[in-house]
Amino acid sequence: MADATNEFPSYGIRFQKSVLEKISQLSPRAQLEVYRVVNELAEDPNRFPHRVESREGCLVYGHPDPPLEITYRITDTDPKFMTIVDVVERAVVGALVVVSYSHKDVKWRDELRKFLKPHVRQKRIRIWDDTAIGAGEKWREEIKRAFGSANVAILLMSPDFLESDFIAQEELPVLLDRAKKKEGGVELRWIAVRPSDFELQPEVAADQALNEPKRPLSTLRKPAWETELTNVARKIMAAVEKAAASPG
Amino acid sequence: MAEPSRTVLSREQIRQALAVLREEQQAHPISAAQRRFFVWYRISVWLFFISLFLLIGCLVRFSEIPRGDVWAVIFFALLVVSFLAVLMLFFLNIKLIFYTGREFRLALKTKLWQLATQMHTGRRWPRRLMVGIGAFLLVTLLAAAWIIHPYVGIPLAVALLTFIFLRFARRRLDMLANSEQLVAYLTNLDAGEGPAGIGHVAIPTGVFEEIGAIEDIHIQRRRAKAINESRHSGHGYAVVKSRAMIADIAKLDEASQLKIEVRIAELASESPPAEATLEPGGIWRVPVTETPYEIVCRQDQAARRIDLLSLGQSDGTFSPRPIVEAPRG
Repeated sequence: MADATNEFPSYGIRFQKSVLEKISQLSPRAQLEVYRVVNELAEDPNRFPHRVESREGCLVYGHPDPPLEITYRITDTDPKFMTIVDVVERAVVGALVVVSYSHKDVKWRDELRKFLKPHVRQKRIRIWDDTAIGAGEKWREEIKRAFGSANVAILLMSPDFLESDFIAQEELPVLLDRAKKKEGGVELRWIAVRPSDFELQPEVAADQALNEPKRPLSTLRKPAWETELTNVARKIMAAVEKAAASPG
Repeated sequence: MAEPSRTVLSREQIRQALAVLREEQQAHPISAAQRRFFVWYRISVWLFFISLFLLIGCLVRFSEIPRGDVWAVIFFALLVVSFLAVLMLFFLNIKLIFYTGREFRLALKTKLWQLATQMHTGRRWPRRLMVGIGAFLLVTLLAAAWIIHPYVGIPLAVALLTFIFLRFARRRLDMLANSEQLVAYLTNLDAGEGPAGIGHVAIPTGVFEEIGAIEDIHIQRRRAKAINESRHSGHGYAVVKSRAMIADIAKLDEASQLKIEVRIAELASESPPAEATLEPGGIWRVPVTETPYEIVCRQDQAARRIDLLSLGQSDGTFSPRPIVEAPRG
C-alpha cells in the first residue's frame, strides 16, 4: 500500500451550505477555477501569500482572472480542514496586466508586483503571471487564455528570457499577434531587467521599453532601481489608460 | 486641459455592475420621501440636543430655573417641541433606523467595520491614527464633562452616540443616492453604444472607483453574513481528495471536470446519495451523472469526513492508481 501521507493533501475541504449555490451561479469557467484554487489551497493554504488577506478570523483569496474572491477558514487542529465560507466574482475590475518572464528573474517579477500593488488595491489593475496556474492544470491553455484576454503585457527582458524556448514559442507569438491588432489588442511593453541583446527580438521595439535598455535594473544600486521601478509603474498605468482609450 | 483618466469595462461587466448596484438598492429600499423625513429627523435631533444643553446651562448657572427667566422658558419650549418632532419623525424613519441598526449589528458580530464606515482602499494606518486620536479626545472630553457635572456628561454621551448613528445612516443614504445615479448612467451606457453584448466601454476612472466602492460594500456585507452564518450552521462532511484523483480529474475535458467537482462538493453536504453503491471494505462508488465516471470514496461518519480515493469508470473499473488509506489525525 502506498504511503498515505504522500497521497493526500494536508487539509480536508468543507463547504458552507450556502456556498454551493453561490458557486453554481458563476460562469462554468469561474466555477472550475474555484474548485481548482480550493484544491491548491487544501494542499498548502499559504501557497499564494501575495493573494491572501486576513479578514476577521477568515482568509480571503483574490484570484486575478477570472476575478474571484474566496473566503475560507483554516482549522489546524487534527484533522486539519478548511471551510469555504463565501465565493464571489467581482464585476468591477481593472485592466488585466500579464507578466511574461524567465523564472530566473523571479526577484524582478516580485519587485514589479510590489510597485504595482497600490493600483491593484484600488482595483485599477489585476496582475496575472504563471503562479496563477495550479499543479496538474492544463497550463498551456491557461497561459493562452490569460494572454489572449490581457489588456497590457509586460516582458521582463534578460538573457534567460531570450533563451527560453517556451517564451519564444508559446507566450510571445500570442502577445505579438495581439499587439498588432488595432481592435481588441494588447499594449505590449518591456523592462530591461538584466543586460541582454534585446535587439535579437526585433518584433519588440525599443520604444516599448519602460526603462532605459542600456541601463537594466540589475546594473543599478537599490535607490536607483527603486526610482526606476516607480517610473516603470507610472508608465504601465499610462499603458493601461491607453488600452482603455483604444477601441475594444 | 488634460484628458480625464478613463477605465475600460466590458458590456458583461456593466451588466454585472448594474446587478450589484440594484441589489444594493434593494438592500436599503428607502424612498425619496423617506429621505426627506430623515433630513427633518436630523434637524430635530440637533435642535433637541442644543436646547437641552442650553437649558442645562441655565440650570447649572442658577441651580434652579428662576421664575421669569425668559431664556430658560424659550429653551424649555424648544426642547419640548423638538422632542415631539423627534418622537414623530422617529416613527417615520423607522425603516432607515431598522436597516442601519441591522447593519451595525452585523458589523459588531463579524467585526467587519468597513460595513459601518466608508470604504477606503488606501493605506490604513493614517486613518487608524486619526480615529485613535479622535477617540482619545472624545473620551477625555466626556470624562471632563462628567466630572464637572453629570447633567452635562450624560446628555453629551447620548448626543455623541446619536451623532455616530445619524452619520452612519446618512452615509448609507449617500451611497443609495450614488447607486441610483450610477444605475441611470450605466443603463444609458449599456443601451447606447454599439451592438448589445459586444465590445468594451471606457468610463471615467472616478465613476469606475465609485462603482467599485459600492461593490466593495456589497461584497463586505455578503461576506459578513456568510461569516456570521458559518458560526451557527453545520457544514456537512470534510472531503479529502487524493492527489492521484486530483491529477486524474485535471486530465479530463473541462465539462467533465466541472461535473465531477460539483458532485464532490455535493457529497460533502449529504450522506451517501441514493444512487451510490456500497462495496466490501466500506467503499462507496458514486456515479457522476452525464459522465462515464464515478467517485470511489470512503466515508467516516464519526470524523465527519469523506476520503476520495480515486476516479473510477462506471463500467466497474478503477483508475489504475491503487486505493490508499487517508492519513488519520
